[in-house]
Amino acid sequence: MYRHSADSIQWMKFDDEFLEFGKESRNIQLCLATDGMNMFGNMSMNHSSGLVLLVIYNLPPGLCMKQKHMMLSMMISNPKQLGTDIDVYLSPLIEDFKLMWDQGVEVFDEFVNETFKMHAMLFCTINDFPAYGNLSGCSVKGHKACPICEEDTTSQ
Amino acid sequence: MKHGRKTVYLRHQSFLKSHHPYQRLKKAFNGHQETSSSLTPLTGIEVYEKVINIDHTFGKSKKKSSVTNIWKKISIFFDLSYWSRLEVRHCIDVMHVDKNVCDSLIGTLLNINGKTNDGLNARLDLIEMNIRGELTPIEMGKRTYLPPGCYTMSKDEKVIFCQCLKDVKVPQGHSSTVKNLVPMQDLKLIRLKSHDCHILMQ
Repeated sequence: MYRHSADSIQWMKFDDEFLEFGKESRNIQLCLATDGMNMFGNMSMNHSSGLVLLVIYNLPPGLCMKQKHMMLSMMISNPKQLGTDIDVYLSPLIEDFKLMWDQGVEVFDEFVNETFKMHAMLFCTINDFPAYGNLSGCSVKGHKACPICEEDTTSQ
Repeated sequence: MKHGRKTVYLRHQSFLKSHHPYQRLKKAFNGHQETSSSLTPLTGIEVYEKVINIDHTFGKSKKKSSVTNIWKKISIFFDLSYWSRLEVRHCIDVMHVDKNVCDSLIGTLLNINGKTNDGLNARLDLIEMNIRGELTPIEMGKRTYLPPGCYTMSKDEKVIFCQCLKDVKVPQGHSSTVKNLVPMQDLKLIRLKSHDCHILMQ
């Protein structure tokens, strides 16, 4: 039964492949969600703004998608839609992810009263279809729009 | 398409399991049997091999590269050493898909003016593709008559459908009050928020 991302094959495979990471249950798996939005309920803004959220997948399914437990890591504001250039804005975040994966950070655990090295990884991204194209660099419009069929997409 | 001026994507049957009965149906789909099996999505390593040679500069570039490639750039996520090992790297938000599908489905089923995707141009495209002869628009003087498809609801069916939705009671906080969304005299659904669409699709 699939109730949580922890039940997925990807999660189990990842833990098998990177044993050091999988052993420590306090290592966190994050998910990155992006979307564009309109601020202040104003539906006709000539300014593009977007947000990047981080979701902690280690929490139980009832909690992990609640507003209280999500991290607003970034607000992107630009006069025009960013398109594929979103990578430039994401690079500081990726830098942090690299640090969290390679070295880890010292974190104090209150429950057992000790400090430990916490690692974190990016599990997947959640986005709508246009943002899929921007994040992955794959074509999502025009005649070759299907990211699975690629060159063989049939269209009329 | 010529008349609808939209790009449509065909051959969805290929994503079904092999030897699914739908793959052999000609008439119900675009008039061709589907023989090719579904393509498997690329793994992370395969994608990485494809994109590694792409030279892409961010920002406004003056000249466009002459070679058209479906992959535009190396995604920054490939800087993470484990990224190419993941199987599902990007997920598409369910709520967006739900809303779009629900909107066009309700519009077409209830035949709401302006919302339906089943207009004259769609019918003309069907003639172009040489399928669905029974849906050909009939010209009668100045007016053109579109024969109703098997999916469009008649008035009685619409009344039953709307009445059923009107009587639905949902727990508090589950979705907005469905009763207020269904005006019985117009027989359509209005003011659907994307969350309501999600509940409806469930």
